[in-house]
Amino acid sequence: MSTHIADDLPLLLTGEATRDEVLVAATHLRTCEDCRNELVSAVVAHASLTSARRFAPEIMATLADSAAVLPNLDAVFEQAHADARRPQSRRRNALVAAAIAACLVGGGTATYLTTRSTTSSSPAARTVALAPYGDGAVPASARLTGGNHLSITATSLPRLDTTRRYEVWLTNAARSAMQPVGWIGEDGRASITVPRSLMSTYTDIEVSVQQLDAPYAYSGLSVLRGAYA
Amino acid sequence: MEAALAERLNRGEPEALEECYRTHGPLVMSYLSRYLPQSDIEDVMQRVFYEVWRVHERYDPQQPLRAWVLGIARKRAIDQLRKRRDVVVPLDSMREITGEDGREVADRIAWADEVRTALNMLPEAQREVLDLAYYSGFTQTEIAAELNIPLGTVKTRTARGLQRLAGLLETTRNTS
Repeated sequence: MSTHIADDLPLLLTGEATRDEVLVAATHLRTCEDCRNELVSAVVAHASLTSARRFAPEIMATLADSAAVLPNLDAVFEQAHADARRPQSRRRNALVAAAIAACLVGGGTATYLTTRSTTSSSPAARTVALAPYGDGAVPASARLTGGNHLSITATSLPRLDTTRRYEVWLTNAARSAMQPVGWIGEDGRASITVPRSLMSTYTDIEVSVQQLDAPYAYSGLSVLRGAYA
Repeated sequence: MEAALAERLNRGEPEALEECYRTHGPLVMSYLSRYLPQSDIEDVMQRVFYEVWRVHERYDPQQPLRAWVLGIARKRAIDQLRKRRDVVVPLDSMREITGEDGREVADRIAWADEVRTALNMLPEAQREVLDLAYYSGFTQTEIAAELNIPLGTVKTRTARGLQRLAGLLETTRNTS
């Protein structure tokens, strides 16, 4: 058997090998299992590198620097920690609630009431009334602190079964965009810090019923709504 | 490491979200920069990683994490482009991200990031020759001249580098 050609395999793949080198390599590869195995690995790496260069050249060129300028997502991380500290949010499958019907039957007779109710003594903290909306039948309230922290008390809402959960959204008056910001726990409360850029983008708070195993999009089943701006 | 991070995120550890952001944030930002103006990037980044957290229980840790995160980024980028009807959005960009090829592009970018990660794990001498060959377009003879080393050394380093890279990529895929 001729000499192994492992070191010459890259030349074959990049087109740098001469005609004679290609033919010699072909002859050798037909008889040498070791070099054929090496060729398989070389093809995997060569194809991967070539694909990366062709379809995502910026990945190689810029990623090393971009880590230094990542946006600050502390508000998102604070929310994640707050969620994780809530035992209810991690035990939702343990509880089965019965009475969803009172809230969810009725076929969408919207009773969107006056929603702005500012009762605080400080401009940094105020209460936003959340009125029944859509399929909802009972009101709730949200305490807005520091312009971007929401403490929602929605204990009046019926309990949901384990396949559904109340989710908090920000939206605008026309409801042309829905931005999820957090979940309401099984105790009917939520403590959510929202990025200020999102708070200023939207004007209203909405609470919906979400199916946990459905695609992560707004369900269309809102039960509460209130304007904060 | 990637598989462990995926498991922790799926379990709902907030620290895993932060690690996911440090690890894959640059990739997501690079991807979003293809389609969105710089002024929109921060807002969409927040939405993407908030959604990563919000739906972490639906993530299958058997699937590559970076591809899953990039799938969310793609959807949020499409939302953002649709919202920007007031400004001119390049038609090619819109078609690329929303069309049937959109998912494939995201997958290719995720794959490129896998390659970059694996490349960075190679010994410096091997990574250097592969960088020059694949991203600077050097021939092996030119690499030898550039690095002032024998051609045989370039051949060996390139061959060993490709072998090791393939091993890393196949291991990553089998364990992710």
